Amino acid sequence: MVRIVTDSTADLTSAQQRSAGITVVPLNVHFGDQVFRDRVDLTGAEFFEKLKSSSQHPRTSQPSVGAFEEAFRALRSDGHEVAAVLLSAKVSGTYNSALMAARSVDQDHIEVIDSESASMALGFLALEGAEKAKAGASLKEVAAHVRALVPKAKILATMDSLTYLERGGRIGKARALLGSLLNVKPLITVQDGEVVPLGRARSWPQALDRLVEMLERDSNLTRLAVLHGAADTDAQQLRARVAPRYPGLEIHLAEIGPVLGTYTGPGVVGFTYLIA
Amino acid sequence: MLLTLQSAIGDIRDLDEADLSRVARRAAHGALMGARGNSGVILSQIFRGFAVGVGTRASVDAAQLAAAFREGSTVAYRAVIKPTEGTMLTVAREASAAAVTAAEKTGDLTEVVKSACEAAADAVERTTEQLDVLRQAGVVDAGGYGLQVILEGFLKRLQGEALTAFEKSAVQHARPKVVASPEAGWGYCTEFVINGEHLPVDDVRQEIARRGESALVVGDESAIKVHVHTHEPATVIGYASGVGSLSRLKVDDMSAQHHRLQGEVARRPRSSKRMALVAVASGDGFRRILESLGVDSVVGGGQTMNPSTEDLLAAVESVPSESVLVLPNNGNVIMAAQQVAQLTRKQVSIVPSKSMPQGIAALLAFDFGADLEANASAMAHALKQVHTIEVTRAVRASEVDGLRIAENDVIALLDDRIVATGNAPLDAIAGALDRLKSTTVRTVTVYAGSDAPEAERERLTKTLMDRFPKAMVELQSGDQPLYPYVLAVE
Repeated sequence: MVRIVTDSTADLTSAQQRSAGITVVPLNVHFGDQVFRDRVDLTGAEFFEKLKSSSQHPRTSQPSVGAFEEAFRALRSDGHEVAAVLLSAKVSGTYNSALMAARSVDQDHIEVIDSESASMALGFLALEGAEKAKAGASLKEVAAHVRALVPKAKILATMDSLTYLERGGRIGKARALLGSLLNVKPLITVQDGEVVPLGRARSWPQALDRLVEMLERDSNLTRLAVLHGAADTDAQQLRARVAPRYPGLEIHLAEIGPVLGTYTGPGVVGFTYLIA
Repeated sequence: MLLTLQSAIGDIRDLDEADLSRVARRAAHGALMGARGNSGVILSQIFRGFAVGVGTRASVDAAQLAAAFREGSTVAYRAVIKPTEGTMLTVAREASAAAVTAAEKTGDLTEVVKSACEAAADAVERTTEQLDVLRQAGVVDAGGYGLQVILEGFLKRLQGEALTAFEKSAVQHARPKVVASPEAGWGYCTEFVINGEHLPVDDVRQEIARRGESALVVGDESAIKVHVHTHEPATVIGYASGVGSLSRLKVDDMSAQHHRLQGEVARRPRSSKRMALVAVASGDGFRRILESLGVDSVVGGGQTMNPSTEDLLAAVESVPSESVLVLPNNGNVIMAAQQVAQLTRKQVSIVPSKSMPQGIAALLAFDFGADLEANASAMAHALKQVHTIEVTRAVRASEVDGLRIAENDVIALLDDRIVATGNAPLDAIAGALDRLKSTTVRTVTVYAGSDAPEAERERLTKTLMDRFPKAMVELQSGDQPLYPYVLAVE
């Protein structure tokens, strides 16, 4: 059977991982000399607490080639084939690590896919792959299904400030939003694996209004999640606000982990979704 | 309007031939290039229509002159999207109608022009009755009166009377001038007109563009106006003098301007963008705020010093994109901006912002993922969501909407209407806020003018925080002249 491997930036809960049978390889977050495995040694909430008290700015690192080799070997030795869907290769070396691991383990039975995305958008691709696999699809079919969904996975987000994204060197084209003399909230999305600007809002409530407007411009949603980092109340309210528009769709609440949190900072909310 | 007329005169001053078609065409061209403010733009359209009416005739008889007047009025009406009666449009129409009627009875040019003048004077008198705003203020329409004066000058010349010169307007001095810097190296803003016959406009345009930046080359085969930023003005002038004879030559050292903007310029890549933004602002603070929100070119000007169509066109041509959104940020600049759309090959959309707060609200609605049309419409919608309060001093006594205003009173305008007066800015602002019908206020932004005292700014901010405890109140320096405070209420 085909099994799915993803990384910790997919923001899947342990319950989601278990029920879908997905293996998650963690990235790492470093505070000085201390290393924490993303979402394993440190949860998102713990990370944002630590961020407040720490004098050092955290750094992140991709999983080692060895970590992927270990995961792939374990699955192969149980007789599974593997489809690994991973954090955008434009912002992380995770995909590259997995590719190298696949070559050394068993190239013919492991497919490595660049999600060109992150957070629950990546998580949704992993879940879609797992469902397809459960239905008995071959490795080629699972990989084709996931690859076809890559351009249909969307992220819309707003955050308190872009300083973390800039400091972490992942700001991409959203650099255009920097430097405002007025107090504004940036609106961003992820396109072709990179952060790109959507616009600005004069206030936090207005930013949330814009997010909802932008979400509602897309139709045929098949999966939807509200993502947040240290903004639980806002996320709950957003979910309650858009829920009536999507009856029959389970709206997940996804808390981002330490690695993504290093680039967003506290106070981030957004939507991730798949369109048909 | 005076500046527009001066620009028209500048273009015909050197013309020493008695060919009416050429004079009319050149005057129309000069007026168009120098058009400032709504009355200036309308005047330029009257001149354009007049030139069309004259056609290729070197001279006209009474009936042809009247027809040319009528064409001027028609073209001007067409240029205005929502023509309002009681403005210079009415004056132009009635003057030209009187000229046509007179020309049916007489072949005497002087009589025809005299009829036009009388009808214009009558129409100007009546503007007071036609427009509420004029009636309340007890004045006639200034643009209409300006047109009457132009026609009267025409008549006096025909009758052989001496013309009296008008004093130059004091307002002109408000335009910021570039101060020459001792260090060379940032280039020269070079402008001139090439005169001649059968001038190769396209060749000249290509050649000038090759030799400098921000090149702007407009005209026809008899006159080409050139504007270019170059490090070697002498080479450009040398080339041009080989094409035809030069006039209105002007070379400005841009060092000072460039040094001031250096920081921003260095940050801004010159690569091509999907869409570019051009906005009008007065005040260094507003300029910096607009630039920080992604505006590619800020054109100086606004209240009492409207940028010309040419200024706006140069900005549109200079930005690194073929699609350009323009924010006039002043009701008097919208028409000049609309002219630009017809003068450039770029795709231009005008967002009709009438104030700085409206312009900034529109700018914040800019969607990086949307196309020009979608952005223009979303921005036009967004600018309606903000209320503008502007505080200034009354230049003379008047009565507006039952509000008695003494000269030098502090007055507050809410969305372009005078709604409150006071001894101090804070009183007037409080009065204007009382008139606000909005239920919830989310943000209040105070843009302090260049002469607003520091302590008063702080006091105003605190008052606003007390008044709107749930809103975000932000104090910014707009550095605008004449208006100690401009407020955006959302």
